[in-house]
Amino acid sequence: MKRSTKTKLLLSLFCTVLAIVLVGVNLLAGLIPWRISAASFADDPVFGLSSTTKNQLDALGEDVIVYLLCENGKINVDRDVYAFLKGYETLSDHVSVKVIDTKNEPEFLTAHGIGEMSEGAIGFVVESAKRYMLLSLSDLYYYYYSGDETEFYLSPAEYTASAERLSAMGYRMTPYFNGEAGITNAIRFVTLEKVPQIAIVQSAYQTSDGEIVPLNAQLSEPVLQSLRQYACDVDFILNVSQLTAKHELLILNSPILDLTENESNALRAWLNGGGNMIVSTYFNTREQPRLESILSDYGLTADEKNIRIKEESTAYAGSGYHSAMMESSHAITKPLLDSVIVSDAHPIYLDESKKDVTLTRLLYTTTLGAREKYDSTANKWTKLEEESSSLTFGATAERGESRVLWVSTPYLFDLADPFTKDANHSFLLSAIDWMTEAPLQTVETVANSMQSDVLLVSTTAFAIWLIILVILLPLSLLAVGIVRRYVRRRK
Amino acid sequence: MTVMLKKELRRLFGGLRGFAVIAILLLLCGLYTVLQNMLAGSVSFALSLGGAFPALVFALPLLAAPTFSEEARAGAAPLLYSLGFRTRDIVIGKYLAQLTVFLLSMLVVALYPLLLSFFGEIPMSESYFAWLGLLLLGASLLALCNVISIFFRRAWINWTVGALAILSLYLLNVYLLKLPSAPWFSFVLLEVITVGICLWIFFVLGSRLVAACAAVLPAALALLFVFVPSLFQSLIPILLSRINPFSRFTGFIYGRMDLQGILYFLSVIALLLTVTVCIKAYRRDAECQNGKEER
Repeated sequence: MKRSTKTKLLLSLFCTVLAIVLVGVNLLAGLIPWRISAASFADDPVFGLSSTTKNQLDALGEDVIVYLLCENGKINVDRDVYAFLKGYETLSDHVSVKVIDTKNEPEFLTAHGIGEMSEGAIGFVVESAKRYMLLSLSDLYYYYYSGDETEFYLSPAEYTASAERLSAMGYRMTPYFNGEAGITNAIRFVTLEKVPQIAIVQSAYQTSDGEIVPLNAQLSEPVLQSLRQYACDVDFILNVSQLTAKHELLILNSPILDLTENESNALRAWLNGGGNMIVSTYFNTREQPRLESILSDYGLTADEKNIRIKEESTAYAGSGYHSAMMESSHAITKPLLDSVIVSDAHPIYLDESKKDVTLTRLLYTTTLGAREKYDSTANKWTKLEEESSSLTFGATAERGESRVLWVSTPYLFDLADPFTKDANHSFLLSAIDWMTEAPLQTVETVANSMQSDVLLVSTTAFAIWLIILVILLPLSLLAVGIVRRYVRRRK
Repeated sequence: MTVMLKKELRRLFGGLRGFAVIAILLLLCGLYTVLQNMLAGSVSFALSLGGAFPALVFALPLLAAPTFSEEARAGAAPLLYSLGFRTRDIVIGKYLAQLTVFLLSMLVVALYPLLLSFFGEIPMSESYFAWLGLLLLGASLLALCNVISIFFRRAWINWTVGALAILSLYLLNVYLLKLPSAPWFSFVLLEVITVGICLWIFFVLGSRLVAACAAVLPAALALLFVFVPSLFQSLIPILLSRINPFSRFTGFIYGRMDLQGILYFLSVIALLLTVTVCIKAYRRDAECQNGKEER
């Protein structure tokens, strides 16, 4: 072998061996624990974890895996969110974080009931041996505005959809990172021994034009998210025939159509078996004889269609809303600090003659409540000729082990958004608490503002530093170089 | 090595080049800082540094381009060897001199967060981790430019190739996610690379035995692809994200120490310098011969 070939080979071999050694060293470096290899020397004001989470994790007695679902896996992961999740791993040996490539691991998504994720979407699965919980990135953020006697919250999706309009109206929204509430509560939820099993009827039909028409009022996403945070296992069903023994509570929110005979029999059987129900109805969709028949078993009846309550005393001027008088001794309303706010309720009547039923008048008007009926011919509301009295629009009935709460307006739940109407939200949680006898709690954490500080640089200072850093400094260096080159050449 | 270092520093600062490189780096880093932080009001100095990559594209090849080409054209190599300079001393001495020039500019840039702190609250740990990342990134790209400068005798060619190499690495990082993740893509690319290595060993190094041994690699890859194709899913994007220096740099701009990133950059610098030394050592005889002819 020629000397040059031998030299080439030896040098190539040496470089190859060195490359392999260095790759090996780098691979071994991947084994260094995250808290050492990616140590932070300052508490992250946005993505850090509070002592509340530390205490919660200290009490953790079983393993929990937090999956970060991301297209292309670790290559594309949001580093802030990843570091945030890794913080949980640092605080507890029971928590581990794994990244799932949604593009190349579809079987994971299928196993957890997740459909195809949109491009670039990020999601989370928090899982223990008992159960798992799904969260999206929007569960970790929200936008908040406060000013001019107004304050409101928006989810990221709502903000994105209306960002331009809000900006044109002068609403400057502040983004908040609320991930700690989401993930810490999720860890708590998946490790609880028992969680209330709630069934919510959510059905719709498609018209010939392709339009989707819901067949009942929908609970808003913030409300549903809140239920998950308060450790409720929510199951969406198309109709009451899908109720099973595992469900403890049914939420039937203002159905448009009456129950079918099968549904009526199934619901009656389920309630007789100890099931609980929260039902809301709307004055405009009365004439549901089968549903009314079930409610009358509990001593609860209502007027005919298109009669609603008009409350003058506690009404919010011009809004159609009014606050409710509440039974102060009942377990649902006793903890509430404020009154719930409703509109367009219809009267509910309690049949005290029912012996096997314990009825409680929960929500009612002042003595200035009145009924008014809609005259479709004249297209207006006409007050019915009667004396004003206190009218009931929310009542509970207990029969055996079964409990029913009837609220005669879906607007109570519409306003149960945890960000807007505290009493309505608390009412719903309190009702679920009473129905399922499960103390609903949440781990309270503080959301962190993501509004970054801004540097305040005056125009003069900007101009001065622009000249110094961009013009003077480089030019002076070039000048020195030119001079030195000229001097050297002269020599 | 120290002698070579001093010699190179005298050469760099004896003329325009050293000052020009520092001027370019300070101009672009300063411009980004002034626009991003002072004008736009952003407190993130890390993002300003992240945007100053054009400085690296222009300045680093300029620093490294004439390193070996000038020496080759002047026929200085035999003289250096006769004076007792070892190849390793020459290569590392030159590299350290270039690194010193780059470091001097980075020391000035290190003052920018302190300057900005007069105008508001600046996250110092995030800023200086990003500074450290840029320093390491620049050092590794400088080593790459040195490897490139071994191959061509014209400085302008070295500069062009070096700038294109840095730009390609940056764009690869930007478009990494657009690369196909299908197993066949990764398999085909890896097969091309491994077969190319075998052919290089056979034709350039001239060893049939080693080429035959190396042929095990493409054969093993083919077998793996047949039996475990899922192994190749997104393999190329993953590998590129791990070896691309710009991908590794992003680990430094989030306010956290990236030990793995530091180790990566030091490994790259060590490997590239070793390759440079090996190539230069191999060419030593040819350089001495050329030097004699030119004289």
